[in-house]
Amino acid sequence: MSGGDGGSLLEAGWLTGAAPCPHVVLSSRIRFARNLAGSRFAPHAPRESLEKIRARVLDAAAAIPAFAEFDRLDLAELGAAERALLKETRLISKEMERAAPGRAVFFARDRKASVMVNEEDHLRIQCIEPGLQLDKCLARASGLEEALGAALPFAIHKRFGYLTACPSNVGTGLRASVMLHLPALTLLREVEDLFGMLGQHGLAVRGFNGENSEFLGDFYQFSNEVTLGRSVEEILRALGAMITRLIEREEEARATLFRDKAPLLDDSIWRSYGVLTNARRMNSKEAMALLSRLRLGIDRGYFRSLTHEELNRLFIVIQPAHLGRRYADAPPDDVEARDVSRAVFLRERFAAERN
Amino acid sequence: MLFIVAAGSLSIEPRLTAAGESRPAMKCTKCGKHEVSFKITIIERGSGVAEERLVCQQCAAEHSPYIAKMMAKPTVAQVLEDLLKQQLAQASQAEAGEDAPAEIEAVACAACDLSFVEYKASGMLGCPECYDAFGDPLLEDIRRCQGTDAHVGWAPPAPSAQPDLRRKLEAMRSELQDCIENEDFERAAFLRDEIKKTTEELRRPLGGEALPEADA
Repeated sequence: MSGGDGGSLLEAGWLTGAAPCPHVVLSSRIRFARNLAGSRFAPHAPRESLEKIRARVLDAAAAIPAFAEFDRLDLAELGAAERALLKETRLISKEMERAAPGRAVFFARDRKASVMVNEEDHLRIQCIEPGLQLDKCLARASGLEEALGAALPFAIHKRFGYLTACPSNVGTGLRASVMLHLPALTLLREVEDLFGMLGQHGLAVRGFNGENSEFLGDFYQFSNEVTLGRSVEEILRALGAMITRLIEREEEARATLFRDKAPLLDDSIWRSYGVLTNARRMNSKEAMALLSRLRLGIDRGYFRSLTHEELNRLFIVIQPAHLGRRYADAPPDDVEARDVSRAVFLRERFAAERN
Repeated sequence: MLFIVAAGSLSIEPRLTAAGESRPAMKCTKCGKHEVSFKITIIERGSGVAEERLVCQQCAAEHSPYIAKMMAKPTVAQVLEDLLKQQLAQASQAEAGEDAPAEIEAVACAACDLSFVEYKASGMLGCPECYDAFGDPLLEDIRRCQGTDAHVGWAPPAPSAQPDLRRKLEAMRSELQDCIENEDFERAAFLRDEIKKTTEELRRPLGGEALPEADA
């Protein structure tokens, strides 16, 4: 285990590989929250206690074969810009981006699994895969969770199950989520009608950037809200059933648009392409809205040289920290310069696409 | 003769913002008793020599009528805490009739010393013991956000538990990942069932047991 070099570390590995249902599903994610018995939860723990926990986790991981292919990173050693990059690639959470004592992250070599130490909980075990692959995420995350659980005494309770710092995660400590791209349902203004049925299944919807974020680029992140009183299998079954339904509804909506609104839709797709290839300034909200149209355009049979995977990557690399790394003259706090460099980047990227 | 020219800037929040996170607890340089809340600059009249000192609220107030006045006004954190106390009091009164709300406020976890009010202010519990220490008020919180109050699932296997079974489980999980990758869904379905069976064999059921009676 070592620090790992900058380039590959910052790569969003979870974007690559086989991705079932790529036209609607961006990614699937499984996360387990775990804490060590007999220690204060991280939000209220003093520095010494956090550092002790980190040391115990590192010792345990060193003896687990599955962790041999993991790189370890002490976040305190990274600069703010690198932490922001990791957040934008979804390798760490927004909370973890903040530098705080005792924090560390393990990343699998393929960047599809990670373990965060001393985030809100002592351990956050996470697996992400492209497309609809909750089963695969669960298999890997369970393996890591089990290995860590055999080496470290997790805080469990006879009634409440796995204990977490915030009671909203108690029980399974599981957050399963799927990021869907629903441009047609959004265009037809049907998407919000669907949100109503989430609550009764213990599910919730969030924006592209997680909790309290906007719905950007027609992306919607669906996840289980309830973590208690249902087994992991039940939670995944309920989420999976809802996702299947949403995919069907989106496919129907696209068929309707393609059939009844083709000229209007095509105009919108190609206008988006026109703006992306000509604009001189572009904020991220607009960029995501335009890229969303292109993503729909792929399904319509346009942009043959563009894959879902490449487009998905664009949604990540047009974010501030990524632009800041690419263009030295777009520092993170200069919004104006960043909007200009975003436009430059997108123009260059799409200059070659023509269909 | 000394007087203060500048005061403030180290926040006046109570300790509930994660002790030791960015601001290690420091004792007042004057009384040596309380936690530092202010940095004050003291300028000696005449010579103009400036000296910075880290002091607690009480000592700062002694130095400066301005700080004393500021302290008389409630801070944002205090206002919030009062509001929370009020809401808690109302909620518990509505439920338990005239039952004393002060009792809930006073409840603190014996293991980590976090009070229920501090938990409500941060939304985060202090340690695993808090789940038992806070009793019914926490149970209500859990019911409110989860819609239920008992876990269904499995406890982790004991470290010594059946290493061969664990190895088998690990092998099946990694094979399952490969099957999914290679779209061998028949084998994947079989493995999923086997993994479920083996997990149940290896792990003990967890959850749903009644809470121990809370000590009065």
